[in-house]
Amino acid sequence: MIPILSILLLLPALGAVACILLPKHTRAIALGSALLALWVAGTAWVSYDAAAGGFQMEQRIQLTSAPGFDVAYHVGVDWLALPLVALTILLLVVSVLVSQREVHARQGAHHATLLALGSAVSLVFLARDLLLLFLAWELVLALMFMLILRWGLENRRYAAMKFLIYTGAGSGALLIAILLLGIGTGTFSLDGALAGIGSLSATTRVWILFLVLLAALIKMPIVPFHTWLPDAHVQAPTAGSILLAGVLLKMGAYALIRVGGPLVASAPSWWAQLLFWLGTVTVLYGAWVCIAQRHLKRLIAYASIGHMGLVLVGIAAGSVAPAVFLMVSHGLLSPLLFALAGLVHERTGTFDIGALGGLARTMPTTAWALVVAALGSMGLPGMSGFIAEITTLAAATASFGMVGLVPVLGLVLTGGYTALLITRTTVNAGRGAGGDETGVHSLPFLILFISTVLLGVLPSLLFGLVKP
Amino acid sequence: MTMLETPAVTVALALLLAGALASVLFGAAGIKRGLRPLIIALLALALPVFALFPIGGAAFNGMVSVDAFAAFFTVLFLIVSIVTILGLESPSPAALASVCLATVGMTLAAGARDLLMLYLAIELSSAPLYALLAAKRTPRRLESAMKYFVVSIVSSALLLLGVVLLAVPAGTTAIASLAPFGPLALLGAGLFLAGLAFKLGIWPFSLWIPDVYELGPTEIAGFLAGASKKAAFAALLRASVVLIPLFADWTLAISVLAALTMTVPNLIALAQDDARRLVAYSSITHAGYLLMGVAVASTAGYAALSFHALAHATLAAGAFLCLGVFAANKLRRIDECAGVARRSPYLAGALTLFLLGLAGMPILSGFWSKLYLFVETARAGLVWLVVVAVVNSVIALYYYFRIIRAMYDRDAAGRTILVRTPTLWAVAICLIATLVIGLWPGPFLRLATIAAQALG
Repeated sequence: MIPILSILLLLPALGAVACILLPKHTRAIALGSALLALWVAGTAWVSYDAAAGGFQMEQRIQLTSAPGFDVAYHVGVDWLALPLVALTILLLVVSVLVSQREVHARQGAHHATLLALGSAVSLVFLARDLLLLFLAWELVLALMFMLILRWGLENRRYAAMKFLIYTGAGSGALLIAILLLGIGTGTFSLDGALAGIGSLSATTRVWILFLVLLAALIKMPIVPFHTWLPDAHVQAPTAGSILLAGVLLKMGAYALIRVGGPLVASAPSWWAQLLFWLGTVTVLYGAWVCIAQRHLKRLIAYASIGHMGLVLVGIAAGSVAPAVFLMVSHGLLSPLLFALAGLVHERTGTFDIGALGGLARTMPTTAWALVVAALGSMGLPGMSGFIAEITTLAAATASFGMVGLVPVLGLVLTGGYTALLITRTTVNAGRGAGGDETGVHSLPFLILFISTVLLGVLPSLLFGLVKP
Repeated sequence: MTMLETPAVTVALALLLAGALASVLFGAAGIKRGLRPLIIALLALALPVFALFPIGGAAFNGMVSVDAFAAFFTVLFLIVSIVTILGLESPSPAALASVCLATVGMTLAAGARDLLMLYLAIELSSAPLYALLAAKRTPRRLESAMKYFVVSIVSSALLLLGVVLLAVPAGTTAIASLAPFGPLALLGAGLFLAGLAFKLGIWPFSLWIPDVYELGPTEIAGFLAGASKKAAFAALLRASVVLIPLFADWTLAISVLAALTMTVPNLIALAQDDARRLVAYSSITHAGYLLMGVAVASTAGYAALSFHALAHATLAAGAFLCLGVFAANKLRRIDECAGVARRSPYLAGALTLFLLGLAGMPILSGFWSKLYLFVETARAGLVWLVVVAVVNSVIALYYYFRIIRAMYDRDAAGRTILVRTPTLWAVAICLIATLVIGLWPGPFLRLATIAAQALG
């Protein structure tokens, strides 16, 4: 059997090494390895047998065999991991394409960091061993720090450090949870540990659950642990923003579903309510802040926070499939918005919504794309966001009754800030600079746009992965 | 006795002593060239000795064990010694002889089965360092050497007193035959531990470390942190057979010491502006992590300790070497290191990896070793200590990444930094160790486990 997942993980990693060794050919190598990885990811998607369900394409290599510390390189994919991995690799291609235009300094190192990041995030989703998952989790942290620090904007030093300390604290919580889980059950294998949670005391189970929740809340991020994200987004290069919004935030929700999910049974009775209200407050707060936001990237960042709040609402309702759909949908739309913002900044030299304007005249296609992406993010039918939000809210009302509709208020606010954003940037009079992307450079936008429409029209592409 | 029956450690010691002797002879004859390669060759020859000669039994009338534990630590010392010699700023015969002799002392300490031998070994490993620290007679260096000298003298006095109080009632100094009990033995054990605590760098016995590391030659700071401190830990594990039964609350007491040692210097490190001083404080914090293995007091705990000792030895030695090059270019404070990545991309990259390793980031050696220590400590039921350690690790992220952040500051510029070729080799050795252990930890972990099992 071909170790398809290992090839998927190795391709970007080897590409990263090659980018450093052969700095002259870095563009070709980066794009080539990312595209190859995308092809492999597509193969994995096609060959995943939804009817059989469970984990497939597994591979396992023992890394250490010390008694009680038996770490294995063990990867496998199920319906939860597959869309997220595919999304990661797709966004890797997009971010490499965007960087080819945007980044001119130390391209070799930049592409190497991006590719390594793609590998590391994929490993988070594919890992079947708790310590391997933690390894990948930490690797993402270090790589993202370097990406923000070395290719970020003016205030990158502050933003990188804030990102590091916040998410580092989340990693610490996750590590303690993993140690408690692994030692209590006697194995660090994900299956074994989760199968053996019965041998843990009830108190330990609750501790583990809340530690995982803390790690997730910081990573997703959920109000009030969110303040690192706007800074990181604003200062990160466009490629960094794409990966950060697209997949890094999903790591938190993924850990909550994967590790926390089996433990929910032993949670206190108010667990679902807690998650629901945390999520709802985040939805409302994110949208509320967006209305007053004048910085384009900061606005998209707060919109991201709002969407992740809705993901938490979905998890609270116990319906994982809509939450995953929402994650993937947001993972396409938010990067599209960030890529467009990056382009606008490059052409006009500003992220200030007040200073922008008249984009419909100077950059007509970009302006249209911005309008469509913003509407899609709001939940325009025909794009993935619509399906995601409808199914999530339906699940929420099914679980929490009419209270489950409170997050809809957030959507109303979303409509408000979307309208403001569109009128201020595209219609109002503004400066004359501009110019659309043409040819190859419009490819990243097209990829994201087509994917989100495809999922909006054919939601079964993703929902079909769930075992009937 | 045929040659192959000679125990491995004896052969290694013979090679080391030959190195010391050669240095003295070369020095006396006034020959300058070729000595350093010769010494490195001798040390490198000692490395595969453990694969060729039998491990087991004892040497020197049973005073030194030749077991897997001694072998593991001897290899560690040899690697750090080779790295230190390559990094020496002035490889004079005296300096080379000193490194060889100190390594002999450390090797004996890792194998000691006798309290007196333990004491002598620790003395032998410390005395040459006075000379190494003071090789260049600048006020800074002399201050560093003087501080180390005073601390060592006090530490020795306490150690010797402890040995006497432990050994006299039993009428023997052999560790295995000691069965100490009573208040006198307790006092002896306490004095012994206090003396060793200086060498281990347990807070508050670690106050000398930042000064000595900062003011002394940087490569010797790497030697102290990478090898000398690890020898003290090996000696502690050798003596722990006697010490543990004396203390009813051994685990609790050591846990508290570990928590203090990893917390206080960690917080002080946050406020440091001198890069070397910062890494010095961080190395005290790592002594706190190592103490977790002592607190656990099980074979797995000792294995985790040995593994982390190996990982930290190469990380610390490598980090100090890089910082030494920066310091030689008048880049001492962290803000002075701004933009170093453009002036010396490879050295900055290497230092970044060493710092990431010290921070416990994957895919580097420090990730696995720290994780293993945490796992074993949590398994022993000391979850609170693991929580303290994890919180400290998160705090430490800030200061490690502060140096990295400064180095990759793209606005600063300056002339290219020149590195001497031997130093580059030394950094490369540390880097290879860091990456190989990080990518394939299994074999090294197994060796550490075998070493700990030999401890019995």
